Amino acid sequence: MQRAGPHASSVAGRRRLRETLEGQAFLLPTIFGLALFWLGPVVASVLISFTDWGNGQHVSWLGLANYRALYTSPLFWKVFANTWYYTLVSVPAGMLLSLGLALLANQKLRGIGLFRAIYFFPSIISMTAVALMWSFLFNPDLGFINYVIRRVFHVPGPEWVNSIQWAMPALIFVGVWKWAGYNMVIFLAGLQSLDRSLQEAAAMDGANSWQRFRHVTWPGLTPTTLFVLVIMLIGSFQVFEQTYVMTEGGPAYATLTMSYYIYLDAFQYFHMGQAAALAYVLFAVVCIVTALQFALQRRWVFYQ
Amino acid sequence: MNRTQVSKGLGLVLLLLLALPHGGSAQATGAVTYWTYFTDKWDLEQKFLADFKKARPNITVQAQLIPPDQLQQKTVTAFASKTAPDLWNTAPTFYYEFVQRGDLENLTPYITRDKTGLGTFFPNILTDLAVPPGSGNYYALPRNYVVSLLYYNKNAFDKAGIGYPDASWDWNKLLDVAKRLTIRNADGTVAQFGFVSSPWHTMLDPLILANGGRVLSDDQKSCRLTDPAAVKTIQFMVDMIQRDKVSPNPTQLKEYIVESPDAFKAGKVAMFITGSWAITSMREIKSFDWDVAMVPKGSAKRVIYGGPDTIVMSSSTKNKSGAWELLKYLTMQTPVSWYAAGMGLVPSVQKTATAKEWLSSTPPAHTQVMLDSATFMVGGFTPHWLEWQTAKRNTLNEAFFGQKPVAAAAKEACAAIDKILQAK
Repeated sequence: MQRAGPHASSVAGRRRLRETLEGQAFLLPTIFGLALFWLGPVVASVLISFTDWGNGQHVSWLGLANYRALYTSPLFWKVFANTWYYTLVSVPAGMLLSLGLALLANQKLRGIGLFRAIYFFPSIISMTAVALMWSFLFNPDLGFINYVIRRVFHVPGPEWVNSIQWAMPALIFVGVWKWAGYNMVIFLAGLQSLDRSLQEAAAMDGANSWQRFRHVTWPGLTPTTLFVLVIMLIGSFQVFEQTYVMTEGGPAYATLTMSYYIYLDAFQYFHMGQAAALAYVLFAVVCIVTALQFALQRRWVFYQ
Repeated sequence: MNRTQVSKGLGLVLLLLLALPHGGSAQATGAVTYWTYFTDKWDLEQKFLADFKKARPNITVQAQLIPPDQLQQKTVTAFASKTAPDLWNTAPTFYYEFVQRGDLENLTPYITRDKTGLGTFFPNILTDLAVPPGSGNYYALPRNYVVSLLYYNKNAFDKAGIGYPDASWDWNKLLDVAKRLTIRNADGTVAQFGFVSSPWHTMLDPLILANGGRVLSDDQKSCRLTDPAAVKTIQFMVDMIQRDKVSPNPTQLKEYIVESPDAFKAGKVAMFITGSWAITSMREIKSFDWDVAMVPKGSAKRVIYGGPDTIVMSSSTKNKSGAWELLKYLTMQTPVSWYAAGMGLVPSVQKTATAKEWLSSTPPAHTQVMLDSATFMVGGFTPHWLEWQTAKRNTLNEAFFGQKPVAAAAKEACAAIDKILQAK
């Protein structure tokens, strides 16, 4: 067998370099695509957020004026508050519901696969279709929900999307309904990856089912919970379709959220600069909240 | 020779005339791109464009149907990427915006060169299109107009023994009848509302004008909703909901109030004001008879919401002569059958609108009301129209929902509107 001399090692080095370059060459189309269609627009929209582009054919540099205008606009703060309202209600409600469904769907029952499929079903329908369907159901006069309320409780139901108070709860309900099944599947995967022997050991030690859940299942599930929490927060900060289809941000701005406001500003009112600034404010909020999640995880997330 | 033969013959003569060389446009050739949002007229439009192809074999039309709610966004994006169509149809909603942005070709030089007879159009739908007002500079020609109408459920009137609405009605009469047409169930719920009151531009804005008030100042730079006449009018509309209870809460859904008035169609509302465009949808009503009347007059005069849908030319088009030929054809030669299918869109050409084929396409029985209303028509469109109207509706809605006094809501509306109108 030949000894690997200096010559051989330089051949190997050259081959390794060639392989590296080849590998990178394969990545080039992706990198090129990302740069062109992702990084390009990202940089462009940052720049646009400092201009008044959209008002006419003449574009001027405004510095931070778009951001300052947001800060002083009462409507922006209303929209900001609405977005938090949506998030702070829909995320806990959605988490509880999907966790509950996951615990149910984790039972060993005949036909449980069918139930899992049924719960998962809403998440494969397009949000636009879901929102349209629920706007028929929520219709105050002709909708099924108020029909049931009238027949069962003999009182007129709320005006739902036509009401300043009830419009947002209706949108939240639709969002929770649509995503519960999807998050259930993630929780279910988390539940099934847990070590069953821990459960059995706890049961043998006399822990009741609540204690087993609280002290065995839940700690094991925390990494999954963190994941679901992060994606739900990001998703709900960007809520758009329900607003677009069901309320168009009304009534009286009660359901105007950040994403929809960005859309209005950019594509209905032509304030591209202002809209870009708004988009970066939303981006900053999502970043801060997500960073906070990761900073706080040490306190409650338990990795096995 | 019957009437259709006559009109066919006339059409043929017109086509021949169009094909004859005249002015500088005779050599018009090449491709013209054209976007339209009239979804339910798409088949008719393609047939009509095929006729244009026969008359003008040198011009190739590339027509594309864009859903109405996407047309605006698509056009703006197309301008940004320099791929704008040569021609497209636009509602007045965005017309002034396009003019302000410099996206539209001034058509007046073409009109002067070709001695295009603008007298063929209803005069007052042209007036609104001149920018600046009264200047005679047209950046669009009208293809049709739409106008607000008072739709009413004839069966509801018959049951209550009330005479049908007519041009003599004012708003107090409407309120009076609305009270009599509001029917309550034993449990306090409402089986039938008399009317639907709302802060939409199709109803509130013209009534403010009709009562001697103003929505905006003359220079369109400030809001006048806090003036006494405007406040009084808004109060009247709010009272219909909160005090008289003849109207449901203002619904936010545009499908409900502006485009497809489901509540009226379901027989839950006896009288309803919306644009003539809703006729197509109203024709689906099977359970009762309905008709239209002129929107009632205010305390000072009669003002009715309405305005033209137009064809505009991009200022960056490469084929100006070809685009101009098609623009003229679309606005001046569209046959009456195009308008009569579905109704709702009133022909901009006087002769077409008074043709029997259009007038006798029922329901509604009183199609003539759409023509009579034209004299009183005001659009109220400005640059940033959609933005300040959305602000107006959302701020005033707090009063319509009974959560704020009218004066306070009007003040808030004006603060928001002024900010939009006075932005650079």
